[in-house]
Amino acid sequence: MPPISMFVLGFLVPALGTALGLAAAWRVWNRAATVDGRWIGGPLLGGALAFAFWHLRAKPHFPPGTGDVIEWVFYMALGLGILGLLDAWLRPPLWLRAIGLLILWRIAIRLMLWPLVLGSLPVAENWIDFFGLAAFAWWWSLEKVSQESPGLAGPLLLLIISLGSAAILTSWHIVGSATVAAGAAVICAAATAMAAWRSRISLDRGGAAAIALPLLTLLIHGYFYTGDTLTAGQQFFAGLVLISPMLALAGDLPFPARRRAPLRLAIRLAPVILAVGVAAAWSLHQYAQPEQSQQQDE
Amino acid sequence: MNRIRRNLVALMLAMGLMWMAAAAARADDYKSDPVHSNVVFRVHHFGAGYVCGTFIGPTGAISYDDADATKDSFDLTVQADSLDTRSDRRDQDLKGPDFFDVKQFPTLTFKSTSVTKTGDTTLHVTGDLTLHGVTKSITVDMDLTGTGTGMHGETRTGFETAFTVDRRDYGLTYDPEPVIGNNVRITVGIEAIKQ
Repeated sequence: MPPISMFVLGFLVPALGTALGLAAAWRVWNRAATVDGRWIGGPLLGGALAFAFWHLRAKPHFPPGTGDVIEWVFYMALGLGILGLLDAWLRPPLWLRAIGLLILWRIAIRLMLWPLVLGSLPVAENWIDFFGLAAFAWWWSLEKVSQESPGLAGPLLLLIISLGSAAILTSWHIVGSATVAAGAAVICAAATAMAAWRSRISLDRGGAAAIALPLLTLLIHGYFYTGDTLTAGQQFFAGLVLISPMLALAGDLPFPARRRAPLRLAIRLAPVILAVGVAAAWSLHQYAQPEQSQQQDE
Repeated sequence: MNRIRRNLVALMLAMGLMWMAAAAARADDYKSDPVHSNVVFRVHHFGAGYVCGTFIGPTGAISYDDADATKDSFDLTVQADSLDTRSDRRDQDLKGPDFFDVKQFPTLTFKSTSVTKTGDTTLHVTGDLTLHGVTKSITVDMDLTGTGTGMHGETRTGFETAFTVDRRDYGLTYDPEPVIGNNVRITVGIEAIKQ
């Protein structure tokens, strides 16, 4: 069994820190408070994920070596946290935020993939462009959901995606990254609990991005670096998780947009839960297939 | 005319002697037979038992001179993807980016830099071990395990070494002790065919 300190420092402390940070910034003890605590979302969730990464995966080097490119996720979480803080304070227009995000993203993905992909994959630039679009879609979907439906929708959506990512990464035999995704899920569960208590809590302006984009990076890293040859099924179900944040925009269609908040939330989350749930169930089922010659897990 | 003939004969004799001397000075060249060679590693698990795994191989070239170890050399390569611990799931975990990262680092290599003889059948071999993209100089004790004749009359010579590395030195830091021990005992057995 992994050491208890790993559970405490990798899961419990980041979750408690997230809950306490959100509580303090949004004055959750005061029902009538009008304070806007958005500024804390980025640094708090990004910091919590970086802290979890450190204790679940490895103490990061700087700069990460060619064998440690996954450690860029740690720096990405911290960087997104700082950007989230600037985003909440300076409130730049959408177009400027989008351009900044895409530039940062291209740099991050290049750093992550250069040892493997840029030298051997002729269409590497196309892959980077494709994942740039995916990152933009994730960021935009989560920002919009968090903005339009403050409270449960954002953190719950992040929780579902984190769990789905953990399942996908487990089925790709990248337990280290799957554990980090599970750490993200625990952080999101804490944020969900706080948002269930005070529905004015919102993770837009950096909070959602600080969790979502590192998660997407874990999936991209896993896709290229797994030692497995991914089957068509594995790729299909990873694709389902990849499009899942966009499915939450169903809640912005004319019909649900006019409904009451609980129904709108259900319409947002139902397709996401369905897509991620099917992908996670299939992935874990594949992973749990009994082996012919094995007696025990690692 | 006779003088020229005598000179030519002398020249040919001299060249023959030089060729024989050169042949005698050169170490014998061997090629590792991967089917009869193996790499076995052993690592502590949860501080309890030991888990073993193997790699096929290694392949590569060996120069060996019984009389002069300074002419000896070992240049060996193991395919990381050949890892086998008798558990498909564990193998896939180990081949993935958490551990050996075989897509990025498909081979493990050892290239000797100096060899000294320490006994009739023992050598002290220093060389560069590259594992997970990290190269470190190590020194191992190598045993000459025997020489025999194969089915087709070829000469086969065996070498064996066992040494311990700290996997963290090679960037293999995931799941540290007590889950997976940091020290990995590696035993390399080579059967090489004389060329």
